[in-house]
Amino acid sequence: MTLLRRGQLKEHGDSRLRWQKLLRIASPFLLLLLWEALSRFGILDRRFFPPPSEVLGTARQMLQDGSLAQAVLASLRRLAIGYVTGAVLGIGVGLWLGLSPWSRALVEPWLIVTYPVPKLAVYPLLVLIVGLGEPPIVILLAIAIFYVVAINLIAGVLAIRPVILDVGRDCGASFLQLVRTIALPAAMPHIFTGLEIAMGIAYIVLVAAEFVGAKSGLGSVIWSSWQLFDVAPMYVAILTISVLGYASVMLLRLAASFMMPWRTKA
Amino acid sequence: MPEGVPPRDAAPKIAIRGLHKNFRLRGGQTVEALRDIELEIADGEFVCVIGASGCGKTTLLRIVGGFEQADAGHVEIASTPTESGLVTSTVFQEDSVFPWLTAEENVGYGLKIRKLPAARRREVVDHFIGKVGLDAFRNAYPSQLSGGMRQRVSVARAFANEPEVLLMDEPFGALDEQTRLVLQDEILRLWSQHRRTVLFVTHNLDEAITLSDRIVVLSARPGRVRAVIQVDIPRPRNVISLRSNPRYVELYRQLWDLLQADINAAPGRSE
Repeated sequence: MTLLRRGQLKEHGDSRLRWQKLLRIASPFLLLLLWEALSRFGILDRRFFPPPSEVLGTARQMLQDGSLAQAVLASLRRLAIGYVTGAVLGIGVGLWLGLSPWSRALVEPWLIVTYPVPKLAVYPLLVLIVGLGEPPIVILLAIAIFYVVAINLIAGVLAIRPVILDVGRDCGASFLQLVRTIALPAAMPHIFTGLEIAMGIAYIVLVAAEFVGAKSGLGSVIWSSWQLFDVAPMYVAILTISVLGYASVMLLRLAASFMMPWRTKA
Repeated sequence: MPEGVPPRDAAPKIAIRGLHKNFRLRGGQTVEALRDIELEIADGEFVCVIGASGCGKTTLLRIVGGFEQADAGHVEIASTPTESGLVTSTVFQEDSVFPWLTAEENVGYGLKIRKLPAARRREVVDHFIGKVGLDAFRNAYPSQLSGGMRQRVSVARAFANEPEVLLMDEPFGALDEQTRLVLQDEILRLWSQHRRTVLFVTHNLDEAITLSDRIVVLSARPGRVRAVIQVDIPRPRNVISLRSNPRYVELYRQLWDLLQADINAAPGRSE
């Protein structure tokens, strides 16, 4: 006869998890290390894939001469204006269409028909209308963000359980009170989902618009380093964009947990 | 106010006159939900509506609450405007608390909507949140509360609206038996202290007998008033000891016989 013992804590199970966590943190650096090695030993073509140490040197230089800060500021300024404009319009229109079946019947088909148009395809038209420079880039950003936020929010408002709106009417709320005290907080999770998706799209649209339409900003740095056949600044700009994108999403999530305290307390 | 049956000679608080309601289905057919409902409810009276499922109980309550319109007939409510300005307030069957508000904010929602002064709001919310035993949870969000506690919040919200008529649509239908008994007991106490006219929909015979002055039995679809039963059991009532009262047993039997005919007939008369 054998005696089975079960339920006893296995020590190594715990430490295995810790190592996996550590590996997860170290993993990106391992990739950089691999890249560095491959590039130095000439397995990767240095002209296209300079070793990370060289990119870091360029980054330091761009930080010192202020060109990186200048590019970041130019890009962020466009992003902020376009993003906020698009988000505010998207939230307004989303709430309005979500709550009003008549307006939805009229306006939603317009949104659905125009939504699949790649937003960048409108850029030349915008240049014709408002001229070159900042305006077409900012407007393009606002348009791209507007669609994502509005369409997400319409779905969010429609997903509100009817009984929740009944309670508002039961308590004597007017239409505007229903919007402010029920539709807005009830659809808040959908608003933030829309804002987060829109953030990713915003960086794509921003960089693409800066390729062709700007002499400043991170997109312009990438584009001009291609023309000068100097790829290190290109990597610096790409890296900066990914860091900015990550930071923007984290900032949004922080705002979300601040705006929706009921979701974090469970 | 004396306990027991309210005087019946006074003008009714609620008069339901010749109410008809049809529902149009997707295929264009219509289903008759309510037919020729005639009912008078006295001021301060507690009336339960029972009937087989799908008999239109909830529809009747939603028409009284102003959420739906009748196809014929109407509902008259004799209203004397109060400070809160609400004629009716409803406790819904579904989970209807706002997840983004704390327990006390939920209870005070209607008062805030009607812009009552903060001090008065505080006073009313404190009173009713205490009455439903949620003092310790007043700052909790609904996600932190059990289903029974959330329904208490809904009940407190409706009472805090201080309506002339309380409408309750199977408010305890989704709760377990113990919680249901506790909440029935709380409703009885609240009602004895804040005498309101109550229209209470339930499918639970025990609940109807425990709470009501009168029970309206609706027939299966289309809902018609099949019988109105006077519950002549003196108040205050105890939800548990009531069940061994011989009169209770008789009433239960009587209600069951009335409903059973419908339940047995139901399969044969589907439209």
